Amino acid sequence: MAEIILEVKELVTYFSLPDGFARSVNGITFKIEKGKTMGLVGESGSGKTVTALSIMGLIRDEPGIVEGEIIFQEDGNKQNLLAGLEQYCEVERQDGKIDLVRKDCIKWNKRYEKNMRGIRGKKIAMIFQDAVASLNPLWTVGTQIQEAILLQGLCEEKAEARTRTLEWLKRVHIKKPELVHNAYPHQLSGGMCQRVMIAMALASRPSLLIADEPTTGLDVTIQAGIVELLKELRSELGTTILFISHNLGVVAELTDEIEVIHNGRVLR
Amino acid sequence: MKHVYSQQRHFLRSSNAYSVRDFIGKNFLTLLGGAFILLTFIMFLLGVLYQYGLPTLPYDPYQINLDAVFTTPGLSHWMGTDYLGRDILSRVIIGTQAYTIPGLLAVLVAVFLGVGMGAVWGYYGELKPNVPLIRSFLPDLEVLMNYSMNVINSFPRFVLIIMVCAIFSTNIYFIMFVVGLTSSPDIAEIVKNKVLLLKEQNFIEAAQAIGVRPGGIIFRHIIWHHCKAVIIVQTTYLLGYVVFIETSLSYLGGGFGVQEPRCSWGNMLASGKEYFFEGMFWPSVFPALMIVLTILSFILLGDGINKHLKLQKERG
Repeated sequence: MAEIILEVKELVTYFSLPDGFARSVNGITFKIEKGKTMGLVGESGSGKTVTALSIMGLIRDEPGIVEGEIIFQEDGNKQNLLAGLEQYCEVERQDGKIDLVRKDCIKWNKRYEKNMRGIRGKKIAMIFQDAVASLNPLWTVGTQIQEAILLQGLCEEKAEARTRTLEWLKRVHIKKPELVHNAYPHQLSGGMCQRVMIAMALASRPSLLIADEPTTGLDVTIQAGIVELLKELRSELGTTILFISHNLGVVAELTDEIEVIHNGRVLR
Repeated sequence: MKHVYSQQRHFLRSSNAYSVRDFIGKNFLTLLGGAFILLTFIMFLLGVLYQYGLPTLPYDPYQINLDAVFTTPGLSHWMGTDYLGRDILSRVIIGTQAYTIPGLLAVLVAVFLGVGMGAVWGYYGELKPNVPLIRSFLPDLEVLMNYSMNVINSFPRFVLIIMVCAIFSTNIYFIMFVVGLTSSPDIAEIVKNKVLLLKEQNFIEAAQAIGVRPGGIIFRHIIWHHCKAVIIVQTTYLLGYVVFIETSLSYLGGGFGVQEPRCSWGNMLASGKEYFFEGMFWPSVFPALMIVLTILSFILLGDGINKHLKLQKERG
């Protein structure tokens, strides 16, 4: 059996409403093998995106992640991203359902950021649904990719970061990388922005890439282009991909296995 | 193909880049304000050079000359002389020294405090301050900041400044520190609103996903690129306000501001006003004109920058 890179066990993420909880992710369990591509499909509002954001630790609303385990494994090092957090979050159950959550969010976040240091962006990267909105509108595209490269400590000098940025822009099949390097996001098309996002996410050589509906909002030919690009980069870099989509055609094209999510649970 | 290209270029030139004459026509008041501020800055530099012993002023501003009391404005004294025969032009020029450096201090204090408070207020507004014992009684940080800013804002500022100076110190740098402190809520509020608006946007989430720390997000992604313009506009207005405060305090006298024989436009106006109805208008009118024009120029400049930025935003 192949090495398992990410294992999510009984993950629970809630959001508080005036009356009770929005049970967005209600005990999701799945595994991804190294080098494989896993598809996460489901209807709108079934908790796909919240699962992805929970893995990246980008949930800001309270209470957020309540319990569960996210085990990330690389080169034999097993690491539970939610280790040591149980003490800050108490749960009361009624009839097996979570009824009350007492969470010390400040301490929880502090501890969690400690766990995530060196993993977010470096080991696990993410690309988002709306690529145009995910790029800072007042920065040139090149600066943003450079920032990602410099942040991960892959190189020290700015000039080297610039050449690497151009290399990456070429790698995601952008014609005239010199021109795009100095362009602002609103000057690019949606497909080009998504390519830039992919370059930004992969520039730090992550072992797991979470793609949250990267093809939504693009037309069919561009979708095909993005899928081709992801396939190509996957075989080049050996990146594991968690691909989230509600477009079954795209998922069938790209993925090795599929998990179906409904109402915050995996259907099996 | 070449033909089409040249046509496109022509089109671009006629719509976007306009001639110098158009530029002056559209920004006339802004340029006027800017030119006047440049003039006051040159006056400040002349004053500095004079203090280092260079003959940059027509007369010694502190030289009393009882033979030439109340000389009318003319070729020998461009703005006339005051009741002790001192040259008013020289005193107007040296009067810029009274507010320039302290005013910059006030602006620095206001910008640093305002940006810092605004960033914390906007980004961490939902959190509760984690003070032991009384933690459960405390409201959100946002509510606390709102109340403290309202408390600072609810005092009439000028009265507050006079009160603080009367109690603690009449040093001009201290006064300007207080001016900066009391002006910081304005900037803090603008920065807070920007941060609140932007922190929910996708690109901030994306920046977090590539591993940018909160400090980097607040200062590089939000403040440096999105708030720079508004802060510059606010700074311009604040500089006008600083001139107003300094000259007002010097006018009031009573230990505040600049004292005789050192001069500021405020105390020149105060000492000249006695002679206005005796027909000698120049000791008071010229400093007053300088005060009005300087403040007006700062406001015109600020408005002009603001308008320009709004246009830029609409263009995309």
